Amino acid sequence: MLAKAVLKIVEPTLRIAIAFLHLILFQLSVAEAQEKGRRTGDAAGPKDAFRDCADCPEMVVMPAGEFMMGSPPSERGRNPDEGPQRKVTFARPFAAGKYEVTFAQWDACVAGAGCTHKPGDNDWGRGKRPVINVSWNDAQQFVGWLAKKTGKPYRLLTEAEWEYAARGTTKAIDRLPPFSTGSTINPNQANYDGNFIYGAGAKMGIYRQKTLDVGSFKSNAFGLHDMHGNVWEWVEDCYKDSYAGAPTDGSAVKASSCKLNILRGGAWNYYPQLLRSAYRYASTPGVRVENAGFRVARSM
Amino acid sequence: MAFRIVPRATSARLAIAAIALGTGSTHSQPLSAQFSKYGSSPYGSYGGPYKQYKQYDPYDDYGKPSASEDRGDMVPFKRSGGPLLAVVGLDTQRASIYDSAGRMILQSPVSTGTTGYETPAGIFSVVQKKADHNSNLYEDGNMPFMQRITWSGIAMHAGVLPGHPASHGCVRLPIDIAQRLFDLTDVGMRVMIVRNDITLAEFDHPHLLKSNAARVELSARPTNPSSRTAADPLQILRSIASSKASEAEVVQRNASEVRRVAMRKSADAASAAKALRAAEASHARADAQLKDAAKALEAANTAATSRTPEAIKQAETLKEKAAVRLVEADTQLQTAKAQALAKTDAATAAEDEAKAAEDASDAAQDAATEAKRRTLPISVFVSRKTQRFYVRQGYVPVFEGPITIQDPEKPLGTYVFTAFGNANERVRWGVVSMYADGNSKVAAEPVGARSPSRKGEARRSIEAIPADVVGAKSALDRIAIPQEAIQRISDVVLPGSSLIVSDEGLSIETGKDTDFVIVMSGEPQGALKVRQREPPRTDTWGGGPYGGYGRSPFGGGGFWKW
Repeated sequence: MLAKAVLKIVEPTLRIAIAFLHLILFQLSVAEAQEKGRRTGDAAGPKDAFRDCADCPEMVVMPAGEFMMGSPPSERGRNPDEGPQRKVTFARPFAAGKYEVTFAQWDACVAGAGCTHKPGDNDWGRGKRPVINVSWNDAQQFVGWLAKKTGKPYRLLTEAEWEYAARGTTKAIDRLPPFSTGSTINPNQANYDGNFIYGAGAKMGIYRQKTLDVGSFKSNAFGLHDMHGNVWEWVEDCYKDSYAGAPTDGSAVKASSCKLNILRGGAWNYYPQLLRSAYRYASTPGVRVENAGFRVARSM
Repeated sequence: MAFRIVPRATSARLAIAAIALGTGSTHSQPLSAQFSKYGSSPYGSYGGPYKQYKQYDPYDDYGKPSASEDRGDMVPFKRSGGPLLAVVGLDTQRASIYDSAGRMILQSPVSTGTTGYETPAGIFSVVQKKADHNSNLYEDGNMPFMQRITWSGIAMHAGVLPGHPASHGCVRLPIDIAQRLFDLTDVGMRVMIVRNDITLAEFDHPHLLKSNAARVELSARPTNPSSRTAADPLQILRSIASSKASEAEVVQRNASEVRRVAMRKSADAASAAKALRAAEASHARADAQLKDAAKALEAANTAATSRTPEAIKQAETLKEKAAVRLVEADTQLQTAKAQALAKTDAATAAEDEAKAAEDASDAAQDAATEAKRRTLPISVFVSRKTQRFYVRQGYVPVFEGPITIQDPEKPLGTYVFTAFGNANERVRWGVVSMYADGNSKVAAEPVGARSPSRKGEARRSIEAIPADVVGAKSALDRIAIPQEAIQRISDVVLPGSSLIVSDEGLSIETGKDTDFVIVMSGEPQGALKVRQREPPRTDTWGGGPYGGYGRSPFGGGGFWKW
């Protein structure tokens, strides 16, 4: 009887309290989302983004489509190995990592006995920093582990997929701008050595001298972050110094014993000429350096 | 520029005299005043290692160039025949300067960084010169005859030499030698800092770059048919550069003229469009008026009460007039349409032309910049760590790519190969190894064991060790230098050109307006650790659309300041 009476008095108070708590929590999450949105420039929610497990890399679906791969001969600072330009067609959509693979994700692979190498972080911190000091061979261990863990066909991006994803356009025109940001790029859009500029009228800016947390800048039109700058990204392909005879269906160039694999996108200590969507960096598959990481892909 | 060859004995005597005289410290301000700003730091009290600031003397620089001086006053990379190489021995506390022929022309005692502020062993170059530099972090930080070797603040300059490493990372020289050296050098002189003093050795190897004078003459022929007789490839390159520069100027003038025309045509098109809109409006008005007049006539014809011949006549007249006006308006509209179309087409064509002219101007500008760059020495760096080669020319990064190294797991050692001589004959190469035994980092006697008890005389009595030419040869034997890629960049190997081979990668100090900076890992680097390079401050950073990302992790701008 007494308990009932007490409950009768307390209940409305509790309800109010709970409602209040909900309100606060809601406001907090809104504030957090707004803050995140401000920081990363995600005005709208992620487009077709998904995760295959709680601590798996977040993935974004790239649309089927076509584009002109490589750079036109007129592009400033271009290398001959960026040609000849050719049209590449993706018949089916594929998924690309929204961000570069982070130290937290790499360390999970090590903890899960999927990765044997424990890369140093140059004392810049781990967590959301992109993993560095990993080789192409190391990256293969990671995607292998991820594929086994999720049962999904995880792999590295092919070079064609990478460039398509970086340009963020399905228009197959000859003279695409050198960057997804247009004819030039500035240090408020990507992490690189801002003492250098690309093109007439470009502005100098900050040189941060280290990696930044992934997703510190606005995404490109396909919803991907840091395709330009932060760290070089290993892709699947074997390097050849020309696109002559290269596949046009977006598949990787393979070789039986590959001496040089490709990295794309430029890095925190590079100048913008080498951040261009078309630039190709080649290195031996065992090299581990402080400006190279990777991002994952998976077929749909 | 001609050099007087100074016998070693004389220079040593000079140097000793400089020490005896002292350099007149300007250290007049009370120390407490100099350090008072640290008291208000957001990081609280500076305990531990920061106590060493009390030993600070005004001859050391801690900062990057201040905002006012920044790099605006920087002398661009130049080469006028000055010395090409300075080797600073940390053990001997001695600097040796080599001229463009590879002769040692000057030796000087130095004082390098003390414990905790060690001048890092590595490969540097002079990036800036200032005769009356003041350290921007400390008032009264007067550093005469400053020759900066890192933008983060390591320099060679005049200072006090107590006979042992005593600076906060800089290389102090006696003031008279600092001045003489300052007068001789160019921005671009290589500075090697080695743990155990090493002397330059003559060296040759098939992998070292050779000039391709035939190609220079070939490239010069279209612009200068008489170049076949020209003997000096540098002169040819310079004349190509100056003709490209004037070409670029012409093309640029043309581009701005074409742009002006395009702007005028675009304005014409705009006013034609405005006229067209006006013609359309008056046509519509005339059309409406005719319709009104027709209605009025019909009303006059059908009106029951006021139907008079006068009214009908009047309405008919009005309608006729309106019809005439419509015909006129129609004619005007057709003319305006044709005009607008023609002007828009002309403006579009002019805009295309202007864009093409601007593209041509950009291309000519790039060609002029490249031609100018080709008159400067080339630097090539081969890194075993990244298995990559890098090319810079006149402090500008030009090209890089992968390189094949035999047995990539085995150390190569660190070597600097420098081209000596003059441009119109075949250059001769010399080598300085980072260590006495190229592949080994084990010193004959650790530097620490020699300091600080050993005084100046005892240190300078240490003999410098000849460069390890055997190690240099075996290092070069293991590398396939991409000659073709490099010759695409430079046909002439000018004195001061260099090849660096190292197990290390590029230091963070390598950047804009620098040559390759390579720092030896495993050696004390106190001077670099205390000089966090301050990022340039931009208005957008912190206040930009990304919500002050840069501030939060470090809790304020002060992080970089110390």
